[in-house]
Amino acid sequence: MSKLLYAGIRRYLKSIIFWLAVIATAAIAVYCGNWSRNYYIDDFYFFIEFFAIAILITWLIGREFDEGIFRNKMICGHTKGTIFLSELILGEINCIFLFLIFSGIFAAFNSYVFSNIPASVLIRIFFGCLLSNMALTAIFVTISCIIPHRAIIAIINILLIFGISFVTTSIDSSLLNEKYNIEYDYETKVTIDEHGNELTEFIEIPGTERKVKNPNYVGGWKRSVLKTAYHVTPYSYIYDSLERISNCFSYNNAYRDNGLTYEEDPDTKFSITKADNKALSVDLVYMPILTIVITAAGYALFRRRDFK
Amino acid sequence: MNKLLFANFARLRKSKIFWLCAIIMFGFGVFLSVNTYYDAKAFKYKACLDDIFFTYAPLIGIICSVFISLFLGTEYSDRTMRNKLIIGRTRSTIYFSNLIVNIAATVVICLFYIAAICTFGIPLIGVFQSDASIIAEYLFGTFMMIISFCAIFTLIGMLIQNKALIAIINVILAFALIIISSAVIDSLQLNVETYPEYTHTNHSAENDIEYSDDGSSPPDKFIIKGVKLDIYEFLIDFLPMGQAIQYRYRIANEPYKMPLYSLGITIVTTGIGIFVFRKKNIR
Repeated sequence: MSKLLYAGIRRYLKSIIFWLAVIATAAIAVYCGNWSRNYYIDDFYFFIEFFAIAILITWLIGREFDEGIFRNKMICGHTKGTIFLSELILGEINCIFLFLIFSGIFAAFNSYVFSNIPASVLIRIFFGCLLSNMALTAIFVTISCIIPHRAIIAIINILLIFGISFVTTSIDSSLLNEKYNIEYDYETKVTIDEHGNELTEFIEIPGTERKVKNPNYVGGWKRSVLKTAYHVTPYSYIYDSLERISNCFSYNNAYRDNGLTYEEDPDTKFSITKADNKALSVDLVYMPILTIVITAAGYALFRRRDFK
Repeated sequence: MNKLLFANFARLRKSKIFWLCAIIMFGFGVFLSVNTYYDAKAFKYKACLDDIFFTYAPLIGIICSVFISLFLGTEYSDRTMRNKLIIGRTRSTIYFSNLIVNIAATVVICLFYIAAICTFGIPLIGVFQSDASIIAEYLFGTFMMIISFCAIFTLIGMLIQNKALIAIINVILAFALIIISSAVIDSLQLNVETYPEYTHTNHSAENDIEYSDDGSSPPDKFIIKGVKLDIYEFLIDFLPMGQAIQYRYRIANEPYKMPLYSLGITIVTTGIGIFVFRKKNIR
């Protein structure tokens, strides 16, 4: 195993794609750090890092198929299980390395925000995001080791990033639907403006307020299933964490009564509800479980694969 | 050329990725029709076919990138390109024949979506509410947009000899175009909602005056105006994905401009593609 890892690290370090991924991650981190300091924090930043990891893994593991390196490793006496695990470990090392580059540069640009957030919250968010990245990496490695066509691996891995994001946000919006909606009766008021245009206004009639069942509300066992599915997606922790700290970034200066940014306002402190604080810890459990399940599935499938 | 086209169409008919894309688009059309029907029923509103008919526009960009990457990639990986040259076909003919097949395939994939919408959407939701001329104009615009997408992805597919690299570049390009276009459209929408005085749709002498409700100047970094506004407006009309989003939500201010931009993109990318492809050393 150690020989495979050593050879793999040398291969990664000599790969131009690896260095391109490092440069791209650093450049994007500078851009994102600067943008979030001036405007707002966006969960989209993580997509760029996901892309870097996906392309790197696709390229290097896909090459193992194309050039028959997997077969050569087996001829040398390495078992399929060891080969798969070595690829996974290499992928995870790359993921951690790229994540550290990105988060280090991002944190340097937004140090004023992070100095206001309690260390315990920051550490949990940091590890949660890292574990999410690692879970996604495990998925990329598994796909890349099972499918022998590099172009198809590339397409699947890239589409998967958007697929996961789409599923996460769709489930989140389904869960946000309230059980009841408030409805009113309206009266129509037609006025003529100075240009002679007819303007129609709909005015709520006081006292007609009533609760109406929301047809989009998901309840019962379906809600439990959706909640679990949401937490299991590698993007959900990042999505939730950034939502919890987004108020600390400059974007909100447009809506503050005193017109000061978070950085400028000495009285503004970071706050988090008890439920959110608990969720930051509890939700951390899902990603290692996902990584282990994916790794086990990938290990089993790779061992059954027939290599030409 | 005829023989190349005939051979390419024969390969297309047998291509699994082509049929997979067509089935995905058909399935998407069915899903959208049924979903809109149930939504309209649950929320008691009147849905119309116009709302879902042009939803294929943004999606076809992604489908097109995947299809062209895999379909053209085999030309290099299976040495088909070299064989075509050996039997005496010119490089321009090969380029054009591939472009034509890609356009035809993408249009057929789109027609699968339209067939699904017509088969399931019309009985469930009803017919169009917009004028036939507007629908025809949008339909023409989206087909011109498809041609421009095909021209861009064919350019990449013909110039890069590595199938995996073509796939990575094409798919990321498709998503990058979506992200850039949506970001620009979102910024413009926010601008219209927050600072309507800084929009060209409401052009007036006050356009250059900075003011807000309480009389103070709004923070500059949140406003899009002047040259930046012109560039943003040009970008959403020019970029194929910007056009796609405008067709999808029927928010195009000047729909007659967009087919012209698509034509321009097609001519320029094909011109560059043929020029570089003729000088390319093919392994």
